[in-house]
Amino acid sequence: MSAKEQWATRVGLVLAMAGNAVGLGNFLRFPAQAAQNGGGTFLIPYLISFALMGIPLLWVEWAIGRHGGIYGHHSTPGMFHVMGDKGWLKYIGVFGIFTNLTIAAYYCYIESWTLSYVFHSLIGTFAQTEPKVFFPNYLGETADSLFAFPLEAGCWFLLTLALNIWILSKGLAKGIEMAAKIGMPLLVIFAAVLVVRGLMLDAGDPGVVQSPLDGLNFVWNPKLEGLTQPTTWLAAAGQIFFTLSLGMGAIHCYASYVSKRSDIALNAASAGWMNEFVEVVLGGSLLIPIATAYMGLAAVQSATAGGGGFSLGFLSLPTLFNNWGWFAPIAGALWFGLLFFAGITSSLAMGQPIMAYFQDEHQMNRRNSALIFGASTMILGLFCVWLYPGGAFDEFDFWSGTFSLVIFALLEVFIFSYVFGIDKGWKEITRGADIHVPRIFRFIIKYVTPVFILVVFIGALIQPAEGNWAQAFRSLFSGDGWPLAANSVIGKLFHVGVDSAWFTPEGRGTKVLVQDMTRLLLFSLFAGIAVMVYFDFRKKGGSR
Amino acid sequence: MTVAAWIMLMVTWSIISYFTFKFFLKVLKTPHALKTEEQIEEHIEEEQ
Repeated sequence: MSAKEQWATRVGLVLAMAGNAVGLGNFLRFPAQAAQNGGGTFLIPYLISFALMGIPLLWVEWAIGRHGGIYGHHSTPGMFHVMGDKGWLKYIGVFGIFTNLTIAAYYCYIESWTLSYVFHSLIGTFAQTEPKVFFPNYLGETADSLFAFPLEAGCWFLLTLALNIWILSKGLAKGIEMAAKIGMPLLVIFAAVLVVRGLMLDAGDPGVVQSPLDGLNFVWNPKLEGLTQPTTWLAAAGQIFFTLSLGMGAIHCYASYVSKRSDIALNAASAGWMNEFVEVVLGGSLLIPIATAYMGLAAVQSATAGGGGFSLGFLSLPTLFNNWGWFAPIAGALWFGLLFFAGITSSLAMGQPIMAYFQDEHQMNRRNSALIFGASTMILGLFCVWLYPGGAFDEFDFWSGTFSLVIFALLEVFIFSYVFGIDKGWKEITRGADIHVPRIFRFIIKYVTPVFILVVFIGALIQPAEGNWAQAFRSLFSGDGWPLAANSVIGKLFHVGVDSAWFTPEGRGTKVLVQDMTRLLLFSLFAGIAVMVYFDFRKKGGSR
Repeated sequence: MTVAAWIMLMVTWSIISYFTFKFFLKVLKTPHALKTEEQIEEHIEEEQ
């Protein structure tokens, strides 16, 4: 049992939790998803998903975390172990170690891009070199190669990782909490400066081709037919799921350092709504309005067609800032700086559960557990860096950053309601609550949230081609089968729409080879963590 | 921007800002309690 680590302040805890949730997706993914899925109409299923799935799951994860912390468990295997007398419960917690470790590996790589882009913005790199030329060179991509050995990107990655390890080794209060207290306000200030500057752009300004308000209109104009599209609802539920960092095990870990009688209901609600503020109010008003002003709406529509804003954020915005004269390097630093703060507050939350596991189960000290996290993240991260052109990075993102989160959330909400028991669960959520938690949420957690996640999961599993569900059902009932989308879970698993050969006729490895090897690595890692949990808990015998 | 877009934006921003500031102000007003060894023991005894 351990009560060594503590949050220094309640505000620090809420900011750290909000920082965990606020990530790059708040600024890059949300506006693109909203714009592509019914504009303003997207916000209706989005807010409904927040109420029926987001907030209930936040409370469930906080409750599981605080309950586990009382027994001295700060990572999910131990937390699930004490939720019932079934021996298999601890293996559900393996997800909470696996996802954090594997997501941290590629997330730290993206985080390192933002840090290096701050540097390059300040020294004026993008005034001379187009980001579209700079970026592939930075990643070391060469035509037809599955490998890349980018020196500069590798160095920035290691620097970012070292920074994470250093902060984590300082401890919960002096490291993570301090980083959140500095990073979150700066992130909001940086975003607010850019939003105001962007929305003040006028038709007479150099380079401006369209009003930024046309971009805002693109994000917010309601297209009511979107409400009848299952794709819109799935996209909204998916966005809520990923933006709140649910199903990862990071929320559980942070909450496990909260005292037994302290509130979790208000803390969870506050952190969740803070994430929504950053995502909808700031994130929705930044990227697309500025890009529309300089590129025109048609180009922005085309750039966000895939539902992501990555190319606008990394490839277009640095060039567009050049229109802002002396302010251009500062604007670039603010933009990538806020992305960096969004990233690092999330990656720290991924590191803490791994460290907590080694501290709890192996009695390791903070420094050594931080080094273990750093070393494993570095090995997995370099795999992503070197095999980036082969698609290893995308495989990590899909199977760890998407698929396993949904599975874990689905399992945890079932365990919370039906194994731990909703009566005990409700008592955990409401104990010490500083707000009144409406009793309807007891019903929602037990029945509605699991169904909601199940629908999201099935939607992802069998997503039809072009997201056209009506056409897919017509095709199924007319005997032509289900037209699976290549990016559905099953489609990905079986390489739908691509040649699944591992080698070319000339004997060279293909992307499919890299993808399958990456999956093998991820599966082996999951199994390895499960074996470690088995031996660690066997040593404890029947002890909880 | 169309009137409908303005309405969607204003309504959504109002809802989100209201709850964000309401809850965060409440957090600021309430101090944080630390976990003690006694509380941990007490809880484990209660559950057993």
